[in-house]
Amino acid sequence: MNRQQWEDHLAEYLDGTLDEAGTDALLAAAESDPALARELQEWMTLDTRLERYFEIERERIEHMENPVADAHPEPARRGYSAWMGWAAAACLCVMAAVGAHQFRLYNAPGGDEILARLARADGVALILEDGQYRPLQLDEAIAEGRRIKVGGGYAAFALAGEGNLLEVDADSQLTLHAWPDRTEVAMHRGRVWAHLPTDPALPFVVNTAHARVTATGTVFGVEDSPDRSVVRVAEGSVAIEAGGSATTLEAGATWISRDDAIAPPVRQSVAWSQYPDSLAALLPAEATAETVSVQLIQAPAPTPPPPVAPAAAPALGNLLDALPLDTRFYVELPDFPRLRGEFLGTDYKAVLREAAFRAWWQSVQGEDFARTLRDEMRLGELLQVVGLIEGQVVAAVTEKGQFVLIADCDGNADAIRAIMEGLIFPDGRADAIPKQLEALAELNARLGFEGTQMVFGSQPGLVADTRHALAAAEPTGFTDGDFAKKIVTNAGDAPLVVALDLASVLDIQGENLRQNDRNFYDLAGLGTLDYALMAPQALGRGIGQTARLGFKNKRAGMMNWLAEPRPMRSFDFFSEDAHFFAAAALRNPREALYDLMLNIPREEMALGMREIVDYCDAHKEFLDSFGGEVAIALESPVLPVPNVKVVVEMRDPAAFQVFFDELIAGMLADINASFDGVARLETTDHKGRTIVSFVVDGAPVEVSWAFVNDSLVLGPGPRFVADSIDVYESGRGIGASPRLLDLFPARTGSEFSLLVYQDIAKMLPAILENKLLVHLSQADRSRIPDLGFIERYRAPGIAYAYAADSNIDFYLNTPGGIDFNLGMGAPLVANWVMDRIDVGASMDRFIEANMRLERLAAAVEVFREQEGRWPESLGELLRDNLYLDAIPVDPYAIVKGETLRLMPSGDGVALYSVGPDGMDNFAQFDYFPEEGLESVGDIVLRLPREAGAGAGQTGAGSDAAPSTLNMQRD
Amino acid sequence: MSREQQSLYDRACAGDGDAYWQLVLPHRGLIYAVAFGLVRSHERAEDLLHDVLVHAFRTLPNLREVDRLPSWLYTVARNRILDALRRESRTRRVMAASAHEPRVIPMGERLEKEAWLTTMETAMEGLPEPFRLILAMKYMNHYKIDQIAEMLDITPAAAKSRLFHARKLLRDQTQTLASGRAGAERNAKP
Repeated sequence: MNRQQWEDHLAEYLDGTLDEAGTDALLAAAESDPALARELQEWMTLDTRLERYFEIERERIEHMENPVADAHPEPARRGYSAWMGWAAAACLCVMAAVGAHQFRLYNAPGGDEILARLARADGVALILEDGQYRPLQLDEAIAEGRRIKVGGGYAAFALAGEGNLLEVDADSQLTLHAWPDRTEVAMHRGRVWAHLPTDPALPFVVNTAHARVTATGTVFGVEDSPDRSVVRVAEGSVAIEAGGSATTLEAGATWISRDDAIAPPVRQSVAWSQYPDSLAALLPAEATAETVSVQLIQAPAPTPPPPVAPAAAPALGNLLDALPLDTRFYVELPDFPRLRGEFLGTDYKAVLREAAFRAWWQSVQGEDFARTLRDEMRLGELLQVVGLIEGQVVAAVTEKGQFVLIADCDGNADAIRAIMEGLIFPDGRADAIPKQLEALAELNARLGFEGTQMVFGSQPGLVADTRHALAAAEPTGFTDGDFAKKIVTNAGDAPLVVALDLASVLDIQGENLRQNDRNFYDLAGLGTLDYALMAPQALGRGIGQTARLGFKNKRAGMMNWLAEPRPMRSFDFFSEDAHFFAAAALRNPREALYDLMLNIPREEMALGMREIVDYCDAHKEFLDSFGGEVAIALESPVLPVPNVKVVVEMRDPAAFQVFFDELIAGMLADINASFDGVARLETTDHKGRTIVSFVVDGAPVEVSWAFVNDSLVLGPGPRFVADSIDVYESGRGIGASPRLLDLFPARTGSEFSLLVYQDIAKMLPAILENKLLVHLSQADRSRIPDLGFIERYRAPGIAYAYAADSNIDFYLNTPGGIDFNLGMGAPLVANWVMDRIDVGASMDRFIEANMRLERLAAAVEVFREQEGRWPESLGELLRDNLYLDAIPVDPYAIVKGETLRLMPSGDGVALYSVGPDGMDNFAQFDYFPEEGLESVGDIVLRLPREAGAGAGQTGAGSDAAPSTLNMQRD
Repeated sequence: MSREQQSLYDRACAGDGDAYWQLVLPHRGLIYAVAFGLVRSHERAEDLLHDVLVHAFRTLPNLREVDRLPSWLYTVARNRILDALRRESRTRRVMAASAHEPRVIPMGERLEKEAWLTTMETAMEGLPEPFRLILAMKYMNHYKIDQIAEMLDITPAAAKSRLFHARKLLRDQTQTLASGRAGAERNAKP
């Protein structure tokens, strides 16, 4: 029994899983070798002590009592939980949709003084607590500084003093403050009526964006909106301060902050109150008539608004006017709340309810992913900010790569700032540390508010310039430039515009390219591009979602390959089981070949320019015999071999066939010359047509083809080609299927330059099963949820393009909603891809560690040869730079610069890296990447080597040890 | 899954605390081991065990197959405890400090203990968390290799290998500690 077998048997023996024969062999080995017998005894002792040790641990918790002993079955529990869950989910959705998240204002006066109690609520009255709104309970006390929101319906709050009441209308927000000299209501929006029959001890003040209303012993109403405030007095009088002057308003009078506005009718202003009759009775008789002339108090000349008050209106009507002049890429959402509402209206929530998805979400991976979203990407806070955006949003990247975002947040500046600052001060600002204050200064330099707009940018200077443009209402001139004008002309009033100034970006890039890259640049025809645009309502012939590539003059290179739209027929060869196909109409195959050959790097091309032209001209007849349409399809069933079909259209079938036969004969001769007659052509007849197969002995797949009228059909074997012939002749291909035809645009029918069809959801589970999962380890497979449910969300769709001289337009038509499909799959794919990326990074370090160990081992082996002994330390290798000039650094070392290490090991030495856990285990136990790339242990290379062993392989356990090769799972 | 277990599960989901207790009783050690591995303090581990058990009771209906109870409990415990530690680290009680703080065993307690147990405790506290956990799963809870592999989301072969390496490291550390003690005792003799 060798050492490895001994350890394997021993492990199983201790685990109690070793069979009788193995046990006999183990004990026999121990009997014959006293050292092994001693070792076995040590292991057995350890085993017994471990049992005893954990028994003591168990005893620690034996006394523990049932923490839920008092819980008893409640029949309604599950239903109640479900109801609560749905209610919470609904609340969350509604709150997200209407941008309801508001945060406590900073710098509010402190204290827990009770200012009011909720006396009545017809609808939802909410209070902000710890950054979240929660429903207020009836009679609940409202303390100083609390923000209150009446989302719908109506609420009334009892104030200090008998009979004192504050009525609050729907869609109102306010904060109550207790100052030493006054009680204050800070109104953020909405309407209130204050009934103050009892003289309160302190003046009662209502503060709006435009006025300050002070009252004692009166009944008055205040309305506040971004552009004006209105005050009505029903009884007594109030003092109003606005714009630096003060006035007194008597019962029956109305005050409005703008002299060009008309106050709402009196009846409207009292209608929502629960005491409309008493209010009307209090008002003077003439004031109840709607025809009464409203008493206007002339507002004083406008003065600059106080710093904290939001401005009445956006400084610039269109936020695009504030974008930097050198904007090269921008996104515009003219009406963000509507887009947000549309997204929330999609059925993505149904996916979250899928059992498989829920199971994944509750798994370790799901929990990790959720934690990443929550704690690292701060999705919760991000969504809160998104919920506070109330109008247009534009974002831009400048020529220098700087970024700026402007969003109309309709006076939610304080709430957004509170969220952002909450990220810096999760525990509040009371005991802020210098690092947090630095972060706050950074934030303040990059986040600013101008009127109702938020400006966020990567550079303080850019943020300041943008704010200046907004404040001074000075357009930067960006919208007068050619780029912006082209986009505005082409995008119309699309709800989403993404635009890239390709001409400017590519011109700069093109000038700096090396020759090979320049060849690709020319081949792709990038120099002719002008702009790229995505706008769902872009002008054009399409339906659904639209994008456009614009060209400066005429298209060139690959950009010129696509022909103008023409009827496509190749999909008549594909069965209704096709789940993907792509077809393109090429303008001129001979020109395409020129482009390709002329742009292959010269050093890789045996032919000179003249020869290329000659070659293309010599094969002109063949190249021109292409009809132009080329199509490729993936069909069901999904097989281990590629179930791929290709159809090529021919303009001149006879000429094409002559050259094609010559080409095949040449290939056959070449292969047989090299591999001794392994290749041959076999033919079969099917319905009077000849199917030819190119058979190579030992190859898993054969290529078969047949000429059918003016098309060449290729497939992975004669049976597949025969199927295509049957489909074509029966007329029951996908080209005749309503599933495809219903997706075609009505006006252009089957005319396209490019057409891509997908019904991936139908086949995705099978594709994953047959093509992907089979290559993964059991552990990796278990990380991927059962995706069978995707089929229920099947949404076939097409993408297609129309090419013209100066533009190519792209369209998507996915009635099931491509955005929905993407939204559904993105988290799964992202998680899976991220996992692979992590593996890639970890693998890179693992491979690097192995390579460095190999380099070190080579030097150690030379040392051994020269000195006749193993080095006692790695320092010996550096002596006079004889063996090494530096010890390789350990890529896993926690302390930067620490080197790989050496330990004596048996008759040789062990060279090792500390491995991903960063712990020096003195080469005592090895890192096994198959236990998880971040698992513990050292990466060890032992010298002298055993045959076949390398770094990462223990000398004793090479069978089970990992290699770089078997780690490359995907 | 036995009928009895399913019945306990159904009753526990309906809010029966006694049924829940019977269901989770065999797995308390697992939660305790996870907690101790992360906080290295028996007192804190007991508090966290209590917290996890209450939390798991509330969320038990999320477990769809009672067969997967140990695995589910492991996930819930780990996430719950990590969340608790994260919350603490936010309030500047640095998690690392408690995780790696060596435990000082009072002299009286030390004298009462057998020498091997003191050695074992010290060695166990120095053991990396994955190794300690797998030993606890094996010796405290007596889970089978397959169950351990499922809980840790590794293959059974990897679980076996990790268990063997855990024992090996523990044996080396106990031997080192024992020889150190023997040396110290020799030096202490006049």
